[in-house]
Amino acid sequence: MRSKIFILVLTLLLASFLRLWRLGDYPALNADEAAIGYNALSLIETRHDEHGNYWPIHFQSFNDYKPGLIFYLVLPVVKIFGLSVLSVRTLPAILGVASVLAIWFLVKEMFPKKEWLPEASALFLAISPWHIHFSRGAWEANVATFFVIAGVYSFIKASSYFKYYYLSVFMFVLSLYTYHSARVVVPILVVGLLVFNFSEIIKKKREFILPAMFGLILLMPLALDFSRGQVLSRASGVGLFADLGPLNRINEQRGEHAHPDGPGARLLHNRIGGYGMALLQNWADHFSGEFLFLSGDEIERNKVPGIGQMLTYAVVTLPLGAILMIREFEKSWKIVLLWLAAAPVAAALTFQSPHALRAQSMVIPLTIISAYGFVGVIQLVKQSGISKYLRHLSYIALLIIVVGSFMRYEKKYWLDMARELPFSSQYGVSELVSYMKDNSDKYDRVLITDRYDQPYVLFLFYLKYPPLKFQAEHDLTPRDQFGFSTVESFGKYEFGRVKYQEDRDGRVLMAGTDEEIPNEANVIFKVVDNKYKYFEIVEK
Amino acid sequence: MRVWNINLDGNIEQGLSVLLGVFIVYLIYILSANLFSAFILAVNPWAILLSQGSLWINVWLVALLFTAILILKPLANKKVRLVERIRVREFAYLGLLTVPLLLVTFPLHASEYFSYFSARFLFFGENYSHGVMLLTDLPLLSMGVVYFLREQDLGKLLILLWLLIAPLPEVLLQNQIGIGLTASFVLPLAIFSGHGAKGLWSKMTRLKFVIYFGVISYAFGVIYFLDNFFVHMSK
Repeated sequence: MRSKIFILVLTLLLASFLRLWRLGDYPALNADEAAIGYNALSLIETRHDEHGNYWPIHFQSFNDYKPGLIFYLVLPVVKIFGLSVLSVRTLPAILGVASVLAIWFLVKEMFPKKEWLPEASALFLAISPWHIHFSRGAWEANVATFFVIAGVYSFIKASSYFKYYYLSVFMFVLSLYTYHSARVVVPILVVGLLVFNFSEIIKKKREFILPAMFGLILLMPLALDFSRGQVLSRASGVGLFADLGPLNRINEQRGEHAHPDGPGARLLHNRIGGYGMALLQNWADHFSGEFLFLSGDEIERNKVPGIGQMLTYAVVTLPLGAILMIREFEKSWKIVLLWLAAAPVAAALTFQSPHALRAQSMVIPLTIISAYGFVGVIQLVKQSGISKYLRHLSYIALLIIVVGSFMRYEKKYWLDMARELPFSSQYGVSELVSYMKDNSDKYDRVLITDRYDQPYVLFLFYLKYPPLKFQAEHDLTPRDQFGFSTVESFGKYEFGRVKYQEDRDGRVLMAGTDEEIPNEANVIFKVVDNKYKYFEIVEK
Repeated sequence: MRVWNINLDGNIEQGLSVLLGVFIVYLIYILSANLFSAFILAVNPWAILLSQGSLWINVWLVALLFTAILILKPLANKKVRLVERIRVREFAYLGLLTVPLLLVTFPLHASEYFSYFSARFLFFGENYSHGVMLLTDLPLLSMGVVYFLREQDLGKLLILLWLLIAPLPEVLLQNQIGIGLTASFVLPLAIFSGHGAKGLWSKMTRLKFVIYFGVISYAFGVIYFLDNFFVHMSK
C-alpha cells in the first residue's frame, strides 16, 4: 500500500509540473480566457459583467452566453492576485491536477480488486495530451470534467454511504453550470447510473426524494436563465442544423427520383434520416483511429500537430483494455462504457465533429480502459513463466514505449505547436498591446486588425481597461452567421479590417497583418513571434 | 442483385464474376455455418460491387474461402485460453520480426490503415449515403466482435486476424484507400456481423417486438442501399 501511495504522490507531482510549469506564458492567452478574466475583473469592480449584466448566470460575452461557473471560480483568484494570464489559468489547472487524484479515487471505488489499476489510470491521465492541453488554460470543459468525475465517484460511493448522493447531485449540478456539453452528457450519464442501480433505488425510493429535491432546487436558477431564450442561441449557432450539408444532400437525392415529392422519395430522403445519419456519423468519428491516435482534432486551438488525442502507446493498450473489459463486463465496466458512449453526444450534435473540447470527458473512460490494457500486459508478462532477465527486459521495453510516446508529445507541444500552428492561440497580442499602450497618446485614432479572433477583449484584458468606462461606451455588433458578436471600438481603439489607403482622418496608428499593410508603407514596429510576423504597425 | 442493372450479353467474364459472387455467398455459409452471415454478404454493397467487377478478384476470393474452409473448419468450436496457450517466448520471436516492420510502416501507413476501420468507410461513406456495409450492420458487427471475444473460439480468432490484416495489401502496396486489393476484408466483416445477428436473435427470442423492429430496420437498410445503388449511383 505504501508503494502505491508513493506512486500516487509522484504522479500528482508530475501532473502538477506538466500543468503548472510556465502556465502564465505558454500558450498565449486566447479570447475566451481573456473574456473570463476581464468579466471577473468587471464583477469585482462594478458587480456587473462587461456588458452591464448584474451577477449573471450566463455571461453574454460575444453574445454566446458562456456558462458562468468558471467566471466565479476565477474571480477570487483575480481579486487576490490581480488580473493576469496566470491568475485566470491557475484554478482550472489545479482542477486538472485534482482530476488526476479524482480518477484514482474513482477507479479505486469502481474496481477495488484490480491491483495497480487506480495508479495506472492516474498516471495515464497525468500524461494524457487530451487532458494536459485543456488543463493548461481556462477551459470550461476541463473544469466540468472534474465535476463529472467527482459526481460519478460520489454516486458509486453512495451505495455504501447514502449521504454521498447529495455530493453527487451537487457535483453534477456544478458541471451543468460550467459547460454546455455537460448539459447533454451528464443527464445521459445520470439516467444510465440510475438504471444500473434501479433495484437499489426502488428499495430506498423514499430516501431518494430528498437528494432529488436538492438537485431540482439547485437547478432552478439555471432553468430560469434558460427561459430567457438568448442562452439557447449558442446551440443554434453551432448546432447540427446550422450545417446545410445534409439538407442539400436530401434535396439532391430527392431530385434524382422520378417523382421527387412521391412517398418513396420522401420516406427515404427526409430531414430526420439525413440529420440522424449526420449525428450518428459525427458520434462515430470520435472513435476513429485518426482522431484518437494520429492527428486529433482538426481545429488548431484544440490540437498539437502530429499528435492524436491519446499517446501512441494507446494503439496497443486501448484495444487490449477493451478486449479485457468486454470479457469481464461487470457492472463498473458498464458505467465506463456508458460514459464512453455518452461523452461524444454533445459534440455530435454540432457540425464541427470530431471535437476534442466538446467531447473532452471521453478522456476519462478511455484512460481507464487504456490503463487496464497496460496492467493486462504487465500481468501477461508476469504470468508468462519467462526468466527474470527477460521479464525485466520486457518491463524496460514497455517503459521505453510509454516514455517515448510521451516525450514525443512534449516535444511537439513545447517546441512545435506555436511554430507550426501560429494561430492556435492569440500570439503576439500582448506585445502589440504593450506597444500601443506606450504610444497611443500621440495619435487621434488607433486601428487594430480584427483578422485574429475578438481582439477587443484581449485589449481590455492586457490594458486592464476600467470596466465601468467600457460598459458605458461600447456597443455589441449583431450576431454573425455562427452566432457571435463583437465590439468594434472603445476609447480610441477601433477594430476591423485595416484599409491602409483609405484611413486618412487625423493622426492614425494602425496595426495590421502582413497582407493588410502594403510593402511601401513605413513600418515603425513589427510583432514577430514563433518566427511569424503577426502585426505590422504603421502611422499615417 | 448481382445480375440486375448490368449487361451480360456476350460478356462471359462479367457473367462468371457474377456467378462466383453468388458462389462466394454459399461458401461463406459453409465456412461460418451461419445463415445470417450468408444473408449479410448477399445484400452487402461492397460484395455486390465486387461481383459485378473484375473476374480475378472473385477467383481470388473463392480460392481464399476454399483455403479458409480447409484450415478453419477443423478448428471450429475449439476453445482457446489466450493467456495460457500463447507462449510469451513464441510471442517474443514473432515480436522480433514484426515490431521493427510495424515501427517502420506504422507512421507511414497508419492513417490509411485506420481508415478501413473507421465508421465513415464502413457505414457512412461520403455525403451520408452508405459505406461498404449497410448502416444497419453497425450494431451487428459490434455485437459479433463482442460475442467472439467472450467465446474465445480459435477459428474465430484466426478470422479476427484475417480482419486485421486484410487491408494491408492495399495500404502497403498502394498507400491509399480502395476496395480492390482489400476485397477479402468484406468476408470477415460479414462473418462477424452474422455472428452478432445470430447472437442477438437467440437472445431476443422472447422479446418479439425487438426482433420485429430489428427485421424492419434491416429491411429498410437494404431498401435504402438499393435506392442508392439503382437510383443515385449512376447519377
